[in-house]
This record gives sequence, C-alpha cells and structure tokens, in this order.
Amino acid sequence: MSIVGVQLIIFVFSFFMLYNVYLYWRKGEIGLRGALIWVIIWGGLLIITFFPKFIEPLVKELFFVRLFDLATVAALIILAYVMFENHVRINKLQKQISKIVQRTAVKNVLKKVNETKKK
Amino acid sequence: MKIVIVVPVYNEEKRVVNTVNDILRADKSSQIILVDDGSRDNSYKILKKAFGNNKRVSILQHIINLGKGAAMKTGVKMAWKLKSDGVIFIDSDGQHNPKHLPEFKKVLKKNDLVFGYRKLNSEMPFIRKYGNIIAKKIIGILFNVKRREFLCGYLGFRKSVYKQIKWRSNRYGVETEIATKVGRNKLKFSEVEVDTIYIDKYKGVSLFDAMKILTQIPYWYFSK
Repeated sequence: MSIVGVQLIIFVFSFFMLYNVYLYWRKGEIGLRGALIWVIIWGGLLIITFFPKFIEPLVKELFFVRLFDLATVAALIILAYVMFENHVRINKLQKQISKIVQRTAVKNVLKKVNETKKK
Repeated sequence: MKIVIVVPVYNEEKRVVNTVNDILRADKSSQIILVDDGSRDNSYKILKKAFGNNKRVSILQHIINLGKGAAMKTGVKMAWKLKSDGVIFIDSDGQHNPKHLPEFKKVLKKNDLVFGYRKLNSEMPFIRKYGNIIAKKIIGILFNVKRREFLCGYLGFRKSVYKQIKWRSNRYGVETEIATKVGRNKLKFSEVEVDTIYIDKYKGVSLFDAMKILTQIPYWYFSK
C-alpha cells in the first residue's frame, strides 16, 4: 500500500489531535464521554483514510463520485455544527458572566450603604 | 416622581470628574449612579476619591468590561433599588450638556420616554451623521417610529416601561434597540434638542460598530 500526500497529512494531524485529546482527558479538562467521542471522530478518520474501501458502499449509496467529496461534505457539516454549538455556549457564558458582574457591582454598593446606615 | 441620573463610565479619567460636577451643579436634587465598566485607567479610583463621600453619588464597578449596554442595565438595577421611578442616562465624556437635565425630567413626567437629539449638522462626525440618516429610514419603516435621531445616548425612561424596552445589546446599539422597542410597543415619547460637543472622534461608534448595529436590525425585527 503506497501512502499519498493527503493520507500522510491526515495521519499526522489526526495523531496529533488524538494525543491532544489524551492530554486534555488526563488533565481532567474533558470527561471520559467527551474524550471517547473525539477518539471515535479522529480514530474513524484515520481508519477511513487508510482503509477507504470500508465506506465505499456508502459513497455509492449517497451518489458521491469520490470518497474525498463525501469527506469534504461531512467535514463541513461537522464544522458548522461545532460552530453553532460554540456560538450558543459562548452566548450563554457571556450572559452568565454579565449577570454575576452586574449583581456583584450592585451588591457591593448596597452593602456599603447598609453599613453606613447602621453606623 | 423620583428620577436618578445614570452615568456609564469607561476609561474617562480625564473628563469624568468634571462631567459629574457639571451634573451636580445642573441638577441639585437627583441622585447620581456612576457605573465604571471595568475601566483600564484610573477612572474608578478617581471617582471614589472625588465622590466617595458624596451622599448623592453611588459608585458601582464592573470588575471586567462588559460594554455600555451592560453598564446601563447595572445602573438601572441600582436605580430601582434606590426606589426610583425613572432614569436618565448621560455620557461620562462630557459630550452631553447636563443643563438639559431639568427639561428631561419635566418631559419625563408626561411621557414614558424622553430622547435627546442633536442637529445633524456639519459638526457631527461623518459616520454618525450618515449612520443616523440610514437608521432613521430603516427603523422608521420597519418599526413605525419617527425620531429625529437614533444614536444619541442622552435619554430617559420611566420604570413602568422598562420591561418593554429592556435591551439585549451589551455594547453599542443600545440606543437603536431601545428605539425599535419603543416603536414595537407604541410607547409615548418626546424629544429634547441637546447641545453636543464632539470631543474625541476616535471614541464612540466606529464604522464597524455602525455596520454591526445595522446587521442587528433584522434580529430585533424578528425577535419578540
């Protein structure tokens, strides 16, 4: 089996990402479930890259001419989903941070006002 | 009717003390809420030093910068805690003349909201002038609200309408969002002509901010 350029790039990148997943999991920054999902994604990509025949029936079934076309569409869909998820989560985080900061600002002043009244 | 003056502050160490002193001189009775929005300069320290013992002034601080809209909301929350019936916002950089405050208060007694407007003359920076003209057209058509100006931050409203106009924008765009909600809820408002001094052309709404505001209009149109 001869390895073509694109396979080599995907291999190096997927291996690097798998190593990253392992590091984050060890640090406790992602849970076991999250780590497993990422291992399946990157591991799956590695398998498909080196054994493309596995999904050839699927390529034909979905009327793609080449495996590369299916991979591109799948990558775009995953990217769009991850972007949407990030957008929603960042918005939620922003709202939570704003609430905390605003509440703290009001609380601190009210506390001082009450202390002054007591004196 | 108790009305509180809210001043959002961000990196205004050079001008804010003068602005607050001007407000205190122009309005002898109202309480003033200063909200430092996580300034990187010494605005908060300077305000504490100058007005920390003044019973008419409350100084709040955001520990991080959230944006003008968020600072305005914090000011409003504090105003309701002080049992206020309404608020008037004024910028901290001295571009709004506090001499109009008594007129704002008078108008607010008869209306749900009061907006300041500046004459669209040659003194107005290019982006604001044409941003205003475009916003006037689009918002006028989409939200059925006729205003002389949409970007002026010198405005006030009663507590009773806060729920209807509560804004989501944390950064620039608050004034425009409020305008859209006024139109949507058919609230009663009046406008007061104000003097405006354009102090720093590099501050305030940039072309990029103006574009962002424009892109938000469809969102305001379709959201409740």
